[in-house]
Amino acid sequence: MTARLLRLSVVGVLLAACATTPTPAPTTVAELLPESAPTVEVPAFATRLAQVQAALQAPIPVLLLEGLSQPQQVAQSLAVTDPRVVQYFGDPNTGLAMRNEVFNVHPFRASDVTEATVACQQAECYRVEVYNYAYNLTTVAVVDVTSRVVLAVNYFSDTQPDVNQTHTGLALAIVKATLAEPGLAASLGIAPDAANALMASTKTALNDTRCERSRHLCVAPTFVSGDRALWAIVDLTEGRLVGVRWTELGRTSGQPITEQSLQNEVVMRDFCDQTNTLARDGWALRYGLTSSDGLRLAQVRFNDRPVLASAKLVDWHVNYSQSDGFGYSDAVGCPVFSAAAVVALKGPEVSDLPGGFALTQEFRSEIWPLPCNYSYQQRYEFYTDGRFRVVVVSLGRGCGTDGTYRPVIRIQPAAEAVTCAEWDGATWQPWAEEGWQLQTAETAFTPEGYQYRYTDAAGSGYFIEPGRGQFGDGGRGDNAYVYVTRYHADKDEGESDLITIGPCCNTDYQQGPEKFIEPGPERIEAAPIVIWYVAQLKNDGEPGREYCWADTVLENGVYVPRVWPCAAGPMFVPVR
Amino acid sequence: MAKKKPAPGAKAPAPRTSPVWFVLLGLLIVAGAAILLWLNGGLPGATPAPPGKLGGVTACRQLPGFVAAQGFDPNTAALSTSDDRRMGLVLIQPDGAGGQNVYQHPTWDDAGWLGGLTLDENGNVYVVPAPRISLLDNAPVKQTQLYRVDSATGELAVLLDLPAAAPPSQTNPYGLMGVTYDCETRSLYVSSIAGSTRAAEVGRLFRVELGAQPRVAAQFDGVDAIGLGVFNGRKDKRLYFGSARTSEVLSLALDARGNFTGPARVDFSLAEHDPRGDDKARRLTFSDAAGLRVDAVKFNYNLVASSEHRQNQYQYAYDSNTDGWVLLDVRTELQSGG
Repeated sequence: MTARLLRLSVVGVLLAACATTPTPAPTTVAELLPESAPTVEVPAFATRLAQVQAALQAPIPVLLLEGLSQPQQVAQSLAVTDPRVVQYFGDPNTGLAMRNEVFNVHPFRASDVTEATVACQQAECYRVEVYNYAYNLTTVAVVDVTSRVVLAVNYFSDTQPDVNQTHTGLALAIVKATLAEPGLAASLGIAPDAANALMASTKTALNDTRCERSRHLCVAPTFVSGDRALWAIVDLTEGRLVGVRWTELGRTSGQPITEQSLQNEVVMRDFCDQTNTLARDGWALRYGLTSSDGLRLAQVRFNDRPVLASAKLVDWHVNYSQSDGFGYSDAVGCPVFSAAAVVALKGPEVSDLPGGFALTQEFRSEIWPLPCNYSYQQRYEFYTDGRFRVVVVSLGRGCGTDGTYRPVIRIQPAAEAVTCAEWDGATWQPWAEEGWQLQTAETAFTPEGYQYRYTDAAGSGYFIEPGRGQFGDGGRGDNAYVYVTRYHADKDEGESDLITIGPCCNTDYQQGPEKFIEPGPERIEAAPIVIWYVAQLKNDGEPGREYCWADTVLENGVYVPRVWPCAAGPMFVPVR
Repeated sequence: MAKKKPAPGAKAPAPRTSPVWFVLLGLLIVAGAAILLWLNGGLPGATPAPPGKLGGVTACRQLPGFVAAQGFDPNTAALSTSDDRRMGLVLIQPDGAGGQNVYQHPTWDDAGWLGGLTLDENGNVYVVPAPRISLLDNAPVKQTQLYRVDSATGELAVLLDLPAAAPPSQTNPYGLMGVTYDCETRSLYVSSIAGSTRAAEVGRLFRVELGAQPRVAAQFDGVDAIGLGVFNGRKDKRLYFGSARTSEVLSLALDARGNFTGPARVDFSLAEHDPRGDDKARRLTFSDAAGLRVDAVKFNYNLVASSEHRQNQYQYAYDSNTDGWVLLDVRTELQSGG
């Protein structure tokens, strides 16, 4: 990378000179725009997208820079027809056009002359910067317009050129439109009148930032108000506001405010450092993100009756069958200071379900869906009739098509004395001792699809209905190991955050929970119990049969993930 | 991950991705920002060492004796702790047919997955543990153990258990991070972030004196550091370290014995040049020609860092006029994780 591409933040200079507008009091320091926020119409960006679409259909699929001098136009034309530049205009496999745009055409500086561009000492040269949104790649061509030749072409991966005035205007328009949308300023912790004052401020700078997770082009318009500045991270690839962060002028940690830092800060503050409560449709529960056991529920009640003491996702064991002993034990959890390998980028979200609602949390590797990276989801479903389901989902992609995912779920019923039983095809057979069972093709289910039941002395309790592909979420059956262990208040058998419970690659019942059973199973009749549920999900990358899989596809000139999720998890149905 | 111990000299399949060659003379680590100073081998305010020959201080390092003893070519063999499928230390060498010859002593996976390593003038290897993706093979309580691999026998054993300011916790699975050797003072430097939390930076830098009774000769508290390296500048000799919390590279002046004379100095930050925005210097490699290569990764005190092989490489040149560093180049490497 040349020093030319190293952008300098100007915020320090600009903000140091700010004056004394009254500071709107933020309710929080940092906020992300909620996933559920309505799409904000930004006319300027819509116009831009139309230009992008037109460029994608053009013989030379690149959005050209306008308002150039004649020599600059020559430089631009030569650059975008040079094969070394053109090679990044289309997807190498499909030939589909990728979104490319000329950002800048600058006079070439004498100080930048290299052996390849020595002709520029005698000629009029320009530096043409082309940004590829699909690859997040900058191509720099040095063009000698005197001789009409492209002297050099260099590529800079994961690098964006300096944005131009058009981008600056778009970024400001996106921020203003978003904050003007009813309710959105408040959701970002900004009072509407304060938002108006900010937008009217003339003390605005456009700062450098990165969207290192999405690998999108992002900038940070910064609005000064009194002794504070509001950083608004804007995604110019998608045309949306990512989130905002307040900073105090004159104080800087030296670390840039980026998509990732903003996401981490909000997730840690709101979901890792505190427990949240949720009450809806007769359900009440507490929830929070853990270091390595995913989204943990606690004190789950329905119509004021205790249902679950807790529920969480301990590990994902991923085994690749074609390589003996090869795989990973992935823990999911908080994004920083945690024992998680696949982390939360955002907090959990509540969504509507027919007859209920869901609380959903996603975890991702930083560069998913590239090979050997993973995305997982937890979803807790609650229904108004008292049913609930603990769901886990793999969104691929992993290291190959021979993978089997084995998520280890721990569910602790609230009842202090229950008896667990298994349906044998005719009657319910109680389990006297701790043990495990595998769901197979020969497993007997009740007509309703139940395999297990636990009830207290009064007959209250839940049926357990394993996944067999009946839940309408694409799941093809859980093939699950179910373990029942005795809960001990005075002995931690997984109640607190568990480090890795088992190895990646055992293909039998030894997934970890058996360590609380063996060597001497305890009696569990009329006892507090813990249910461990380990589904087995074989992935598939074969076109047309994809499962637990992810890929990227080109949409509007930019790569976006396409996923074929595999969901697993049991439904709990009240015993009437 | 299940253990896999190929027989000595066994051929391994070609790796899935480009192998990360850990050149023998060059592994290290560190990170930090100094707050407290405690010297146990030197005196507070001790005089910095007079400047030596400009450049790095690693010229004495020798290949381990076991390299040749196992039939490996010292010119092409390398020690690696980054093999995705073999836990611990491995000795590898291209076999000329697209594969590798691999040797792993039976003790080399005893410490679980490993991180940085360095060598001394006798070919002994010093290596630190580093959890990778899970904690199954790297119990948090063992992450402060410094290991030595004997040059002659190849046996890996605990050299010292370096004291942590606080016990390990679920929120920080790491202990020792970086290790480097100064041939001039025969000092082994090790960084630790054991016990640090989001609110408290309680990591440490250690100077270990080797010999019959290895001991901690000096300790510098209050810094979380990853990559380490020693460099003779125009004014003094300094231990450079990459912060685990920020993108800064800092340094501490060393006295003639190699002890810390503090306070820490911020030398430069990767942040403004970082294409991704959050790089941490995980390895510092000084050249005799007064160059510095910084290998940087994202690091957030979780296991993501160890599951993704994505790093940027920064090249710096020493400016003796300013006793500072000038950025020459930044390269991005993007590889699949695991």
